[in-house]
Amino acid sequence: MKLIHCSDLHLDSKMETNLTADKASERNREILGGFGRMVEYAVREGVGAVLISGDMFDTSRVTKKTADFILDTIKEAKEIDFFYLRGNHDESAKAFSGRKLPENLYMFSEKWKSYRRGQIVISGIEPVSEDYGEIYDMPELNCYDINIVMLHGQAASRTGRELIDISRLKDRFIDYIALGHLHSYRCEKLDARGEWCYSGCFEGRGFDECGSKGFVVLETENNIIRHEFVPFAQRQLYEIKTDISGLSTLSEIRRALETSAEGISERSLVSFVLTGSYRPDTQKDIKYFLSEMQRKFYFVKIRDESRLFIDKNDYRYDKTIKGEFVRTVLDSDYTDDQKDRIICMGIQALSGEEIVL
Amino acid sequence: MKLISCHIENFGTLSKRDFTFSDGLTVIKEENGFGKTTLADFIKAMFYGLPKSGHRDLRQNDRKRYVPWNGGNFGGSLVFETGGKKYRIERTFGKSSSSDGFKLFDSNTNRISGDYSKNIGEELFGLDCGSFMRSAYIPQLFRDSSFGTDKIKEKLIGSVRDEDPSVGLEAAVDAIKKKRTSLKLYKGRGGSIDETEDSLSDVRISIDRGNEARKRLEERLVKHSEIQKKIKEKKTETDNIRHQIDESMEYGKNELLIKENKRLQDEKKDIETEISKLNEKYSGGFPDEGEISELRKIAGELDMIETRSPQKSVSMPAELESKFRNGLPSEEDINKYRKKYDEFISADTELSGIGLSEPDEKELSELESFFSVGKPDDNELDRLDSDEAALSEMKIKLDSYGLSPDERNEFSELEEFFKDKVPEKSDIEEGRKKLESIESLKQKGKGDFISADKDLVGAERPLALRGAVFMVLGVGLAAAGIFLLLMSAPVFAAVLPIGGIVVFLWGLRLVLLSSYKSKAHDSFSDRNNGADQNEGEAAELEKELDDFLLIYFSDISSPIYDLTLLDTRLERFLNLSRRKNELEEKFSEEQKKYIDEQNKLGDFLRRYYGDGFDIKNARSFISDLRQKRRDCLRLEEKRRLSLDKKTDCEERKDSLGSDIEAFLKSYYSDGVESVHYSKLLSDLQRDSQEYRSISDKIEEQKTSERDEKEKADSLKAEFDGILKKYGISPQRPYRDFINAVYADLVKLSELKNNKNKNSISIEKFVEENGDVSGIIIPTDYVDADTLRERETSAQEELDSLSKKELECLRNIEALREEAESLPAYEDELERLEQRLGEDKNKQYLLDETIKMLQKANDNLSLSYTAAVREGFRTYEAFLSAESEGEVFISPDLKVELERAGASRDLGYFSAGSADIVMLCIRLSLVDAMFENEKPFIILDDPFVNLDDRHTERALETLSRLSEDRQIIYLVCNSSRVPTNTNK
Repeated sequence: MKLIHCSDLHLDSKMETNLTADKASERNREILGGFGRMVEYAVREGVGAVLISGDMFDTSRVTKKTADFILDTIKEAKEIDFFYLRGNHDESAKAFSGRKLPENLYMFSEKWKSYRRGQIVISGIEPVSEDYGEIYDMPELNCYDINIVMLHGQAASRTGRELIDISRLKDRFIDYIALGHLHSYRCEKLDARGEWCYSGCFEGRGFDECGSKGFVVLETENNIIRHEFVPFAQRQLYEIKTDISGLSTLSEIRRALETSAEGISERSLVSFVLTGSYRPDTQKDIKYFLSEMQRKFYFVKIRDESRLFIDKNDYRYDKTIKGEFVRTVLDSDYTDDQKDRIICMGIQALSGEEIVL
Repeated sequence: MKLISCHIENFGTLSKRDFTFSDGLTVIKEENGFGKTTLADFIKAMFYGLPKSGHRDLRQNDRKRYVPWNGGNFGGSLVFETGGKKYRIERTFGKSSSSDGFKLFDSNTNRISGDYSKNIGEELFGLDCGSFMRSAYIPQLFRDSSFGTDKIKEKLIGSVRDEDPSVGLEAAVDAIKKKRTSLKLYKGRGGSIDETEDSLSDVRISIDRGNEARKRLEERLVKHSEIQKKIKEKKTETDNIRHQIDESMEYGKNELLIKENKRLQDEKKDIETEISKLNEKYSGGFPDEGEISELRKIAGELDMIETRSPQKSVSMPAELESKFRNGLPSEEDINKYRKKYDEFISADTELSGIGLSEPDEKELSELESFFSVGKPDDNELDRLDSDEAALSEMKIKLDSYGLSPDERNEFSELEEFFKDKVPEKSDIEEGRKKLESIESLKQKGKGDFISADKDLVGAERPLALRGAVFMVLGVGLAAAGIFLLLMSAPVFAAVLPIGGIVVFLWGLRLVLLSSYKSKAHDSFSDRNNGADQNEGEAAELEKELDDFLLIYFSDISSPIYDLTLLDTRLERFLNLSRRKNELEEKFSEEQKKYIDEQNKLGDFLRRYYGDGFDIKNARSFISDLRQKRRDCLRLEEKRRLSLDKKTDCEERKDSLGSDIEAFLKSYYSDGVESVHYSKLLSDLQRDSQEYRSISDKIEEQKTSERDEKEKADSLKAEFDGILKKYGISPQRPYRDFINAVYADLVKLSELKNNKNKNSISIEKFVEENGDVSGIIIPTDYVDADTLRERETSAQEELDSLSKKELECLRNIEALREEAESLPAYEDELERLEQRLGEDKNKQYLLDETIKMLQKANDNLSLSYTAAVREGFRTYEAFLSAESEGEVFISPDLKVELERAGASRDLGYFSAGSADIVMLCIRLSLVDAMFENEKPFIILDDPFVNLDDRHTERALETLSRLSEDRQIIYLVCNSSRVPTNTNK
């Protein structure tokens, strides 16, 4: 039997702040569409069950439209059973309130619940206690079954809120712990028999979720369960550092940015991080770089972490206002970043150049 | 750099003046009003041009102030050297700066040089005009203790280099401020920060709304759950009620069965009881239908007979008996007397109509009263008519005794003409004679008189002709009048003769006039020798004649005519008078007769009419009298005839009345009066008819009673016979009794029938429903109707809840839509807050940059003020024997001196002290600003306020300074001219 393990869809959730409202909506639609595509994939591949290990919604933001879409999609794929374990973001989920749930949607609760599908037993719990202690009161599993356990939390070596002490789940005849909570794929050995795995989120929502996203396909055969990560995200997020040290003109810096982003699909969301140092006369026009790069990718963000390089000795004997100004700023209490910017702006102003904020 | 020379074409008071400047000190000593300050301003204008002519104040408007008084070319030239090169500036000035001209020549090649532009002053000195005036130009009164322009400061701190683009601190700060204001204005609202804050505010409001919607959505969802719960409960309740209804209906059905069973059983019992009662009652059996029918019939008759109320025996009323005790009158008799009564009434009617009517009576009475004095007979009336006719004739005749109207008019005119002076014939004759005398005297007197009037010559012939015509005409008219008079046409008779006479006289006049004129002409020459005496007599006679004629005429130009006319009129007057008198006499006689006759007639008629008689209408009175007589006679005859008729009628009436009375008295003892005849006869007829009728009825009654009794006995016997067979004793009323028997019979039959039916019903009931005696029904079950009501109520509540649910869902949808927009607003809020933070940070950094620039500037200022202070000390030492005190120079180059422990503005000090201080400051400032190539200095009599000692030292200093710089010293007083100087 084939199963799909996915989690952390965070439908309707907040996107990267710098995305415009339209683009944020578009991304949310893409994520929602991703679920539909996943179900199509499941139908196409003959998947028998889809395990959703929590955080399907960003509860406070979920819309009726989204909830209806999910339920309709599930209902239409009536040959597939959907097992839905609510996560921390689903805690107060009212996403499905007032709606009739499809018959092929199976929910879990605060108590251990199991569903049998042939030889496969899918168990899960949505703990509510402070230390998630009820996880470890798992009913005894049959060693002859293929036991899949669905949990949502942070894999840890201790108990606690949203923490799952993996060590306490060892040797319980668990073949696969379908975890949710982390947004990147990760798979580790549980014990001699089983593994625990985070499927990661469907689509990156911010630049802290860079990398490949998708779901895990499980296949059982001869009492053995194999899994494979399937990248499925429509867009990928990249954070690229670009060193602008030694570069002074707009073109040089632009070329450096382009070079560092070589090979990245134009559908991607890219965050450029300017690093290194620059001089006061360096043509560091962030807006220009942004407009240039945004023509190449779906979304571009530029974070400037470069530092102004100023040798105080260069201005020691500079009797001009500029020299005095630089000396004054360097001797002030501003932060380094502030100093850099003040000096840049002052020099630009004294030079009659455009002041770049 | 140094000045070499200048040529002033026209600049204020200076015109076509040349000045040469030496390398060191150039002293230009001129009197007041020469234009020293003008020269200094000229030099400044050569380097800086003239400002735009804006100010009305001449002191601030050099262009206006220095317009050449002589109207020539406004401008000049200046030769200077800088950087080893000589240049010549040529400038002209117009009314505005746009019409100014500038040329720069290389003095060596005399070609136009592009080394400097028209802003040569700033380019050379690095100072704007104001700064230049505050530094290199030292005027007489320079009490402004602040001379720190930006350019001076920049120059001091060297922030502007020749090779750098000249933005300067000020420009830099402006640029930063501009950037800053794009983020946030310094005053008021504006900028991206405010815009972002506004957007934030809006978004927050939207978020609040969204939160509110979310909260309400939560509430609504809860409410929806409650409603759903209630719906569920209500549905359950409704279902329960429906179940109860079914049960109730089942119970109801059983109850009905039990009732029905009971009813059938009771019915059976009742029927059997009734049947046994009837059987007991009719133990002997029941008569059959036929017998019942017969009995009924008999009973009906018997009852009818017995129940018939005994006929009231008819008897004759006593009064009728009494009335007709002597016999009954026949109809014929009564009719006969009715007919007599009619005749009696008609006689009475006729009687009342006999006699004169009331109007006739009245009229007759009036006529008799009118003819109380006796009626005139026909002869008297005829005689009255003839008398009246005669009177009329006499009247006519009387009227004819008098002048005709024309004659009367004429007579009046003549009376008027003559007034009271009727002349005699002799007077007229005498007049004629006088006239003749006058003529003859005149003829005698005027023999030699010649008349020049030639008109008179030919005048007499037409006049004579006309006169003849008039005379003929006049004769003709007079004859016609006389003829008519004879024909009794007095009007024409009077007019025509008179007219004829007048015409005749006019013609005569014309003839005489023509004769007179002829004579006058003929004798004119005869009278030429005229005798005065004859003329005098003539005149006298003329006067007498004129006096006579003037009595009657106003115009006496023709005396002979006048005399003739007078004669004629007199004649006529006399005739008319005579005639009038005659007619009056006649009239008087006839009138007397007329009056007598009139009185006679009047007396007769007054006997009848009294004072109302009017003789003028005697004819009508006579006619009236005749008529009255006729009427009176007619009415009298009429009265006589009616009296005769009345007597006959009365006799007839009395006879009839007696007959009728006699007839009625035999029936009415109380007396009979004629007014009651009709009623009494009618009563008699009626009473007799009634009497007859009653008699018939009495007879009829007797016969009937007899027959009925016989019949009743027979029927009774038959009736008893039938009932006896069944042992039934009859009761009265028989009919009711038999009906009751019949009803019992019918009832029995029905009861038997019902009994059968009941048995069948019971069998059927048992067959259908079985034995229902064992069925138990709960006593407390609620009937189906009540339950149905509850069901309806519950259903209504359910419907209401459904509606509420629907409404709730609608609300939820609407709130959901609003709530679901919340995340978007929250995201937007975050974006805006981030943007706001960034912008505020930028604003902060820009402000700090400005602060840092200003701080840097101040730092530098401190450094150059030190240099200026140092220079000041040096120059102070030169110019002043003692120190003026600690000097403070602010970064703005504002100068203050220390006194009594505090720094004070120069305004507090004497002019001399202040001048020394400012001079030192200026000189040290120039040293500080121009470290390398020092510019020239223009001193415009700056030592005016110094005392001799300080003046001497100042002049020494001046000499000393001029050793290494060019100084142009303008002075008006030789006491302030340094010795050994170039002038």
